[in-house]
Amino acid sequence: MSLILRYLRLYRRDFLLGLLCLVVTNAVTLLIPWLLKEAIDALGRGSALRNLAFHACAIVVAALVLAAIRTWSRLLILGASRRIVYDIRDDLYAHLLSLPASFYARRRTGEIMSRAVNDLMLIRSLFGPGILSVLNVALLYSAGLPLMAFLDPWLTLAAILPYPLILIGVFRVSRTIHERSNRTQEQLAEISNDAQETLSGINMVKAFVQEEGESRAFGGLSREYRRRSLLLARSRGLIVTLMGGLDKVSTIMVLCLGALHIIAGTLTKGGLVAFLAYLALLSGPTVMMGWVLGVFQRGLGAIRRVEEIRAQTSDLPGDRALGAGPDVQGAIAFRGLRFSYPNGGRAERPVLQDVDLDVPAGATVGIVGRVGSGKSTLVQLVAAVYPVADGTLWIDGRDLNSIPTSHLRAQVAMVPQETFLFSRSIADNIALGAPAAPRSRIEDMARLAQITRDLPDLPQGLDTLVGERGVTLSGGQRQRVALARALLLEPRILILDDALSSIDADTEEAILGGLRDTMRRRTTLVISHRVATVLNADCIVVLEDGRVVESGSAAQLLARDGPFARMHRQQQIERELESL
Amino acid sequence: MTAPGPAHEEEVLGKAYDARLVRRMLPYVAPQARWIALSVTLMFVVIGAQLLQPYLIKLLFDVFIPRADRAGIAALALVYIAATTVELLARYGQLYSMELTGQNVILHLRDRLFRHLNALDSSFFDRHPVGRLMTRVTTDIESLADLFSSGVVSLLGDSVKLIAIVVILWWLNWRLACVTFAMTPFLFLLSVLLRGRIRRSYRDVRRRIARINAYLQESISGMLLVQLFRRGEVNRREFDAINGEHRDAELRSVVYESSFSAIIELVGNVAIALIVWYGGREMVRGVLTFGTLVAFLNYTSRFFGPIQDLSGFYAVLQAAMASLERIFALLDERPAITSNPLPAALPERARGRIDFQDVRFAYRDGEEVLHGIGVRVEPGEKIAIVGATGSGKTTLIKLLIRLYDPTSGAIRLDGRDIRTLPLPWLRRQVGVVQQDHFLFTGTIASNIAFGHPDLPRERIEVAARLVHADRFVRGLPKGYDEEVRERGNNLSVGQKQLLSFARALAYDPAVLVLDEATSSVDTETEILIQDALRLLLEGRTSIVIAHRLSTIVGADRILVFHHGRIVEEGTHRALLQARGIYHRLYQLQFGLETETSGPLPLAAPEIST
Repeated sequence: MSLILRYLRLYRRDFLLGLLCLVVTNAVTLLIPWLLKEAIDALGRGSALRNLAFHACAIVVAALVLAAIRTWSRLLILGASRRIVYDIRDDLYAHLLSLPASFYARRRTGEIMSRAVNDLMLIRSLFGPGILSVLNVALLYSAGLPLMAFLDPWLTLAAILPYPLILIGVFRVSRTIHERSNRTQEQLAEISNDAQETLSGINMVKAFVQEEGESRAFGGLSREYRRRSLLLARSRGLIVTLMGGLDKVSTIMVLCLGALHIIAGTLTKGGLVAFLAYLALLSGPTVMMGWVLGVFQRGLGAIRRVEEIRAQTSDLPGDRALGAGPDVQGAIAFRGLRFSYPNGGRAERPVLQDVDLDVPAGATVGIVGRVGSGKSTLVQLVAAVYPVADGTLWIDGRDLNSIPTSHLRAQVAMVPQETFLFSRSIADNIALGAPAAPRSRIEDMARLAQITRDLPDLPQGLDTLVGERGVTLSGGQRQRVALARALLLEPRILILDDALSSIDADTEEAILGGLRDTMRRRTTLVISHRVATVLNADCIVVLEDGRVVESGSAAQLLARDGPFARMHRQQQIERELESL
Repeated sequence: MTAPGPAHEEEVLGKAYDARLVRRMLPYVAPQARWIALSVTLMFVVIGAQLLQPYLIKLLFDVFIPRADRAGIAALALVYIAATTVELLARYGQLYSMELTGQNVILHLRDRLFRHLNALDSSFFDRHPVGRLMTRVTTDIESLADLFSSGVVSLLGDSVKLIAIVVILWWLNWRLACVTFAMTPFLFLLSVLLRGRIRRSYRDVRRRIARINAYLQESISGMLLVQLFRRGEVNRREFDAINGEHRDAELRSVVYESSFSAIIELVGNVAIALIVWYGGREMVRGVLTFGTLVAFLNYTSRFFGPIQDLSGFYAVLQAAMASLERIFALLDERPAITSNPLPAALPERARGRIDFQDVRFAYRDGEEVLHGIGVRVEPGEKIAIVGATGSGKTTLIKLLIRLYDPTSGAIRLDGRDIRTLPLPWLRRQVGVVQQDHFLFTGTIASNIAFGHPDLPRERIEVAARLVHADRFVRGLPKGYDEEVRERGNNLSVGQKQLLSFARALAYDPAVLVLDEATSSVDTETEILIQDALRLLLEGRTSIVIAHRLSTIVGADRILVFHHGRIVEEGTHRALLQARGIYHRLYQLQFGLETETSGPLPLAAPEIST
């Protein structure tokens, strides 16, 4: 509710002016049947034609005024609803940008999208047609009913007698319609899921000769969809019939009673015609009210859901830390670090424990270990992706939790395991973190990441669009773009999370050769499943089940003949096989 | 940033009427002829009952009120009530029968489309992304439903109603009718003009909301990067721009929408003024009765609605035609692999001898992945295939069940070229356990019985028991009736593997092909899987793409694939002694594992050759 009031206040100028316009339009709307009555009654008295022309002209003028002001009123109120939706959506997006990784791990993308798109549509209907209709009906009734009562009080009573029934009926049925329409949509989603599943597993379906069975199952879903659609059609038909029926009841009562009153001389013919016109004016919006109630109901639900997201906050202590402090130099220290994912579903099993490591500024650290050993988590903690306990992770001797996240991230660049490119040009993707970077710098980084050697194959070079609308880059090409993106930031701490895995060995060597100089000047954390990548690191750390089981230089570890040495041997054989 | 890909193709709108498409649609519509006839008949009833009503009001004013005939008024009221009742009931019936027609048509078309998709071969699915195909089955079919529920009959109804009103007004007083209709061309022109604008502005709004969708989708999926690269401020600005463009398009559509409804109202009111002015003069001259004047007012108020509706029909038709075009294009796709009718008497069960004769295959021209595979597998023989990733092992299996046909060479089952065999028969003989253990939405039981949907429950449980899946299934809250969700995400890898073994056992093929998974499972499950595997391979010809030591060691023959060729062939012992590729592969995959604390290979003693 508070959100509604807040925006009504914010756009009070539009809503008040809109209200004023509606007052005028309703007055003029009600004037036209009155003019009609006057004209007809004048005819009955056999008065001059001049009078007739006057009334006709008056109607035309009133109609023109009406058209202009009605348009304006709708522009004001419907326009305000569009602007409000724009405001809310902007706010919501800004808020989404501030929410931490743990939020996105809990929510499905589709759910968040549905807040920002579908729910806002419902909110739009509340502020636009919803409020417009409520105001309209209120005004129409407050002016129309007295007018009708003035023409003939008994007729008025007869006319509005069925209205409460119409209201209740429409409200009830429109709720059913809403439910049934949801159920129909759900069934359509079922159909779509089933098709998705069958078509994705088509080879399996064929191997087990289940084409017929799958088609039959799909047919069952389709038939259920038809059943639900027809149910929906029934309640839609019902609402049309109900509305029409009740509306006709008042018309017939007014006609009969009115005719008797004319015969009795208490009502003029023009009066009855005008009365019928008023009735027609009232019945439409009254029927709408049942629908509007539903709009409010759904709109309020949508507001609750949007507010729920806006009530979420970041769980990163760094997001609340103040005072940027000195620039990051790049010394990292882990002190008895233990970590388990917040609300990760899987109960409390720590992903990392007892991690004690010292990384001096400017050092290169290689991290190896099996899938699920905690490598990615370890480096993500350095980039403040997830919250850590106070005193367990230090940067340049400062507790990471006391450094504002944005200050920290300005000097940490990460190339995550899963390369994510945005559907823009390659150059834009490289300049992700520094949109204002000059072209020459982008080109330098592209060269450093060995993208340049692929440029001849790309239609527009660095300006080639990638993604849905553009070209599909190979895994290796994508990783190199992601690498260039991180290098462009000139970070103090560079994190490569298995970032060269899809790049062939030769290119990798070229990249690492080119980077050697860069890496010497900054702290670098390199995760790799390829032993060769980390051989030259100052220190290699081997993780197993969240614990550090080995660390030291490559020479030391090979001499120890532990897990690292085993990996090294295994990969030598692999390379040998590849070269066969 | 950009609209989602499909919108590209989906937004293309062609002409609103295409005779060829409509002709192809006929077979789907024809069975509904009775419902359509009913709907049309009822539509005439509705129009008749509707148009009777203003005439009754005319009678009231012209006949009964002047005569002060109270009984007549009561009778008139009864007729009015009857007309209303008939109108409403007929309208309900008309709407419903039309919806029924539309739903029946799309039901059949959708089924047909889905069956057709199921008949298409694997190479078709390599070329067409699943998402695109889904759009055909859902969105495109839906737009046809719109054509029926809000299109065809109301088009006919509106036209008939308009003509009827014109005729009635003409009959009542042709001069006043002319004056009244003076507004019509103006209104129609305006409608068409504004409708076009409104349609365009709606399309604009849709396009922009699609951009908002795409932008949100991308930035939510890539949120980690957006935050790590401190892109927040820039993204906020970009989103604001897209959001603002959407707002502006919305505001434009509000302008057209608002002025459209206001103008329609204006035209109606001007018509009233005209009737009052001209009709009043006629009344004064005594050529027009008061009732007729009221009837005119009444009929004209029913005249402008249909005109508005008619101008909106074009868009519905256009969208439906575009969808039809895409649907029929899909139905025109012919499968490259077709089944042969039963050639001669085939035995219920094959013996299981397989010959690969110089099989070559390329997914794409010029990129051959199998370079002449020639090997014979005897009935009951156990073959293991080993080789590095991408050496062509899985492809060979796809050829065996004719998901693809070889580019040259032939594959024979019991001496018959598999291309001459009926597809269902072939695939009944050759059971495949795929690497990714694809589970379908349904229950555990329905997944085990996937190849034989009517398999009795006992047989399902027996199969599960034999492969040791029984224990964990019984541990689930609903046992065999436990729902499998999202392709079995609620099950562990090992459990899924046991289930696909149970599925293969229940299928009971003469030839079993197994693409073993490499995924690591805990030791206990590993032991269960080994044992299940032994049972599964018993008494049939088997070809296993082997990753497990026990499978390899227990095989009658091992084929070593390298770059699409068989480079070594023989028993485990012989191949190890040859110290070739197999030896190196073996060291790579198993040799080192013996040193680690990981799952111990069961047949470890064999290694010491």
